[in-house]
Amino acid sequence: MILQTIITGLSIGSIYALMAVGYSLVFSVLNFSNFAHGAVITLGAYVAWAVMTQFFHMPFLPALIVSMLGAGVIAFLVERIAYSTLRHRRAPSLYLMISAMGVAIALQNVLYATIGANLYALPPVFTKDSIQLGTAVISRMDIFAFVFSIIAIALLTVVLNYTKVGTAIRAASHDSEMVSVLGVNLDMLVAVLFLLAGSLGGMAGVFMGVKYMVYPSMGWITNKAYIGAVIGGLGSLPGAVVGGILLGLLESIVSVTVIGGVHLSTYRDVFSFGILALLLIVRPTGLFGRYVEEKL
Amino acid sequence: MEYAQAIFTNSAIYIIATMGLAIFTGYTGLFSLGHAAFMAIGGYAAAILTYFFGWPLLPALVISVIASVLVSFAIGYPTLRVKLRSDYFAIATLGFGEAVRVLFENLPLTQGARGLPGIEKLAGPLNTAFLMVITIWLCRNFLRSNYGRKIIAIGQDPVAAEMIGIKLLPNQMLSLAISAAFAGLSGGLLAHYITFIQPSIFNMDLSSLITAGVVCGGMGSLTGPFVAIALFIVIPELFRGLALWRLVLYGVLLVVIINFRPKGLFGHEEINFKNAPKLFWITGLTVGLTVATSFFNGYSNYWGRLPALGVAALLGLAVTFGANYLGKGIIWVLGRVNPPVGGFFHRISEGLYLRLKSALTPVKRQERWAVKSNGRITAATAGQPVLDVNGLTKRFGGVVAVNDLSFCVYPGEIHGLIGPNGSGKTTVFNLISGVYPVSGGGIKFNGDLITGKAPTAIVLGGISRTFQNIRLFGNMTVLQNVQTALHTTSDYTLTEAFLQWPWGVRPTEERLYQESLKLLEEVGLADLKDRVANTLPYGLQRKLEIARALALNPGLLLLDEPAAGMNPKESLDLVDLIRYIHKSRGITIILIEHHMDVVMSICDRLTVLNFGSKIAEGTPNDIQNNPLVLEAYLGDKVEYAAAS
Amino acid sequence: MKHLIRLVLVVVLLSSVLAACKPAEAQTIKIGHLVALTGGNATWGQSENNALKMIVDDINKAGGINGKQIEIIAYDSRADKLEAVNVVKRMVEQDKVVAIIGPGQSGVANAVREVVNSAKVPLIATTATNPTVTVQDDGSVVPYTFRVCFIDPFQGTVAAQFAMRDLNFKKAGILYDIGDEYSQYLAKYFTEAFEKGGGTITANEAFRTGELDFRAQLGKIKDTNPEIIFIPTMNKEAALASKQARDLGITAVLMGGDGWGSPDVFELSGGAIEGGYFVNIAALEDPTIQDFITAYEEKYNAEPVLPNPLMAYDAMMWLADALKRTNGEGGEALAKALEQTKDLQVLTGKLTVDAATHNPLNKPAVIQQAKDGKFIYVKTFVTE
Repeated sequence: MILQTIITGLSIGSIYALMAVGYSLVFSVLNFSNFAHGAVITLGAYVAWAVMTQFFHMPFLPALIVSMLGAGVIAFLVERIAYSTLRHRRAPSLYLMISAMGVAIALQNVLYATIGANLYALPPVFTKDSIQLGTAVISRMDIFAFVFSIIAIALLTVVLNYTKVGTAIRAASHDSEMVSVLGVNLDMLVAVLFLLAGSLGGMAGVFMGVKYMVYPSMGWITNKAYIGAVIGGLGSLPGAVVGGILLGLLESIVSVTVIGGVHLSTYRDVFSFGILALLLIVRPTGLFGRYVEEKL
Repeated sequence: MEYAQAIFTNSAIYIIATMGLAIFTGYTGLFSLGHAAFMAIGGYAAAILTYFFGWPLLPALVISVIASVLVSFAIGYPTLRVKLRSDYFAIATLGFGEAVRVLFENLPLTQGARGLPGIEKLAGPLNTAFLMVITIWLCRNFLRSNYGRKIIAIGQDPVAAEMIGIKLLPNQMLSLAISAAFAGLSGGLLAHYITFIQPSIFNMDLSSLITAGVVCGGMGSLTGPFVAIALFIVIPELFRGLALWRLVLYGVLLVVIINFRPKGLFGHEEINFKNAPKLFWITGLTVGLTVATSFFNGYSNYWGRLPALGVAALLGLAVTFGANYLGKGIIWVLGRVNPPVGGFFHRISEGLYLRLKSALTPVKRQERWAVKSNGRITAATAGQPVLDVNGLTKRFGGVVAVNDLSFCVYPGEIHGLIGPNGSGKTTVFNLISGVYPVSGGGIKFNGDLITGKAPTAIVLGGISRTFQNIRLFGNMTVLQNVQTALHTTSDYTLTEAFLQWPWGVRPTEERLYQESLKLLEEVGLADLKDRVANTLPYGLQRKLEIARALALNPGLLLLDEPAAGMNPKESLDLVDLIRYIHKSRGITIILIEHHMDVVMSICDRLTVLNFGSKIAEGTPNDIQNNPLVLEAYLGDKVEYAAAS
Repeated sequence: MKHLIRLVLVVVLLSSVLAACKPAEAQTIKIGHLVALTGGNATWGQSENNALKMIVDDINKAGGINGKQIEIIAYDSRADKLEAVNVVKRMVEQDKVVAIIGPGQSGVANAVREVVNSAKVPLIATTATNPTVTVQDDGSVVPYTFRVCFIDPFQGTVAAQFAMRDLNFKKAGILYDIGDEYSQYLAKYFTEAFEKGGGTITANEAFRTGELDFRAQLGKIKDTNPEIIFIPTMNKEAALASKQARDLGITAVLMGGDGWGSPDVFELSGGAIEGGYFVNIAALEDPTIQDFITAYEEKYNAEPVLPNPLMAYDAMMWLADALKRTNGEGGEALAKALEQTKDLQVLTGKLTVDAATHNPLNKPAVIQQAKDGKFIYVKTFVTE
């Protein structure tokens, strides 16, 4: 029972983590909440759906790569269309946030208006899905998604730490003005950033599509990922991973808890929010966030 | 006609909520993505009272306002206390919105997902319109009061606001409470208008609709959000056929407006004679569209599509222009009728007002004014230092910005604080004014230890300052900048502010007006009092900042590079101004400055910093001849020092 | 400037002249269709709209209602309650419809209940099964709402009795959506009937609308070893829950309500729905509707998504009959005519209306089973 709860929590948490990483990555450099990330994830899932079931009938791995690329390009385009003007004008982060909200609303409804509200399933990756682990059961897809998420995040860490672009991104996350003064093309850097964040989002979208299903409002779930990212500390990648997984675990534990005859499962979001509020009060920068004193 | 009434009532209900949010998001710049939750709380509170207990609408609405205000305190205190940055705050409110819905889904009293069906229809076009007008009136009154100015100031520059003694937390909580109150009112009306209430109504779409209304209408305005939300409700009704694409358009509109017209429709301005034509265009277009669509629908079967479309388009255009010219005509007439200040009607009404005032004002209040307008008296004991800095140290991580610094400033002195770039001068100011916590050492002001006190307490204790990079309230007028800083001398209550209570608000506001005018005269800006602050030339902005700092009637004034970026003539002007202030007010001044001519000509004594440590102290003459200073700081300016 | 003003004046004058010679309105009877054409319920909604257009064409070809043509005015509700209220206001006040067909969701029907009631425009809900749609909490009937389908207490009872009598189960678990009144109430009625029949509910778990992962709740249900799990949700949650239940190794039989009956559940659940039973309003195999299905397939080149098209068809036949009796008049007369309908031959059988509840009498329910990628007809239940 407890083992099963933890497995379920990890499986949900790893998806949250994957989404939260893309979200946090953008935040670390541009310092704004990219509320369009959910829409990018959704579109990534639709790309996979299109290439797997509508055209080409690709197998899973190529489809995953295609939709990661697709989502990356979409994220890049979103940046070009909705954020770059504001960025160049040095608009307050609030403006970028609003622009992101607009993009999210528009993209989701473009899906409704064109493809429609139908639900779609992505073909399963494994034919026999579950593995017995004592009393608990774990699904192959969960393991697969978990491992892939870890690999993707690890790869991202490598890119950030050991490549020139990565170093530039990390430098920009400390002081983007300084980096541009030093001759790094900030536009180029931001483009790479959004490609990376978008493709991670695409991956999350595909995993969601396989584990659950594909539909226009599936981006709703990223609200949870945002909460995970805030718990971990916005702008911190390890924070996003830990925050996402913690939130997944917390949710699944709360779901099976009964206190005084009241099933807490239906109060789950109150707990997610409660832990967020508590953390913000005790440690406003999240678990791994850094504290920056404003210069006067 | 009833359909039009329905649209109108719908808009009015949303406008009430949007007005509230305009006060919060529009002026504080904090984003609430869970505002629908306040509507839900208000809606359920009112609905439960009328549904189960048979209350009449009005008392139920009062309770719903109270309920949402209480909840706003509960949510606002923890989140605003820790000064969350706007992203965190937005996500916290997003979570709050969901959590409230979860509660309503689970509580037995609210009957879960089904909610309360069949609530009596108590809200109609009439009472909703009435409440909407009241709401707008209250919001307008609030913004024109001392309380409103404080919130506007925080929204424009929280740091500057704190540095004129405005506490962030209570004021932000106040503005959240006001927005929650109107959201609650709107929720209560909504429930009694659509006659049912369910948790699923109050979803994120609703929250983002009113947020989008505030943004597209323009932050820092009531007119803009009003117009925007009305359009958001009306336009989709005209194009129901477009179904889903209208939501796409609405998202695109957000992106376009924020990218190309970030001020929105009426950013930081309210409707007046000058910008009214904009509104007439908008109304004209909407009415024109309505007429054109209904004409097309009526005639397309009869005349065929193309001719009907043509006539409809022409008709639409005609109505658009017609409405526009009608509006302009009204403005023209109003401009004629509206009595100019000092005109005949104006004089009569003023006379009446004054007579009424003296007849009706309670004696107690008149006494209160007399006391208040005297201002604070800052007496310093002779010989004792005004400011005593002892062993002051500040570390940022591993960097020591200020190292064991000690110096004293004596009453009536102009004390210069100089040193090369990065020597920690501004940090010293930030430590004195409490912006940064100190790492070690102590600062005494008039004998009292002020280290560890809140910045606002230090400011109100008598130390005010200006900033190296000017921090004015950019969208306010010159006069308002100073008026805002006079907030401590205002004495009317919040209720009086909301009602613009003539015997409470008006005399005080008049006094504040006169006092700010006096201050502006002192710095020579009285003629420019109605200019928007950020349109002033650089040198004048500096002067305005000084006037604002003086409004707090400080005993000690900290000037951070007041002559930076000024040409020689302007600096000379400034020197005169500082001398004048110093003499006429008898205050003590600490001055950070790079212009050596300024420093040397007006400072009584100087403290020289290098790498956070004091390397010299003395009269300008001593310093000019101090070899240590020449070597460490003046460097290439040795020749200059020798020449003078 | 002057030119503009002159232009304005000319056009205004011209158009007022034109408006004077506005054509006389053609004699049509307008009927509103409140339907979810987009959103999660779109599959049914679109099919419902198609069927309605079909029968209205037939009626109009056969001469309409006493010579007057019927015009359908369909608006999308997105199954959103606030949107539906606006849409119904528009139908009632702007388009002046005499009656409204739809909606298919109880929540939406409850939301618009007071609007149609105060406007005195009868509304015939298609698949809104919650009792409160037509009967208020105090037991009195809502004068202007009607429905053509059965109600949830009946549906819940049918499900419970089928599980106990036909499948011989005594222990049931429940997983429902607390954010959805349809789901919540169906779970409640199932529980009542199941416990009344001597069964035990081993676990009663809930989730919130929009959630995707029910494994935590299903794990808890699994620990109580039920023989059957009742999942009264729409197709999306049914597919997810069945898939996750099978993943967790739950072998209990799954059962649901009419929300399951969308052919995409097989694909969405990856086949995990196989073997599950559900209560439905009608089955494709029903011999009486074969003509309709052929006609529908011919016209739209797709299978109708049951039961909504049938219900809309029935509702229109009922409405047409009542309108014939009132000679196209709406309001109170129409409500009365609808109420007095007795033994009217409609597509799915004979329709008699209970004036006390505005529900159809003797409306059968069918039990279907998901088998080999198809819904198989199992059994028919009729109320007494």
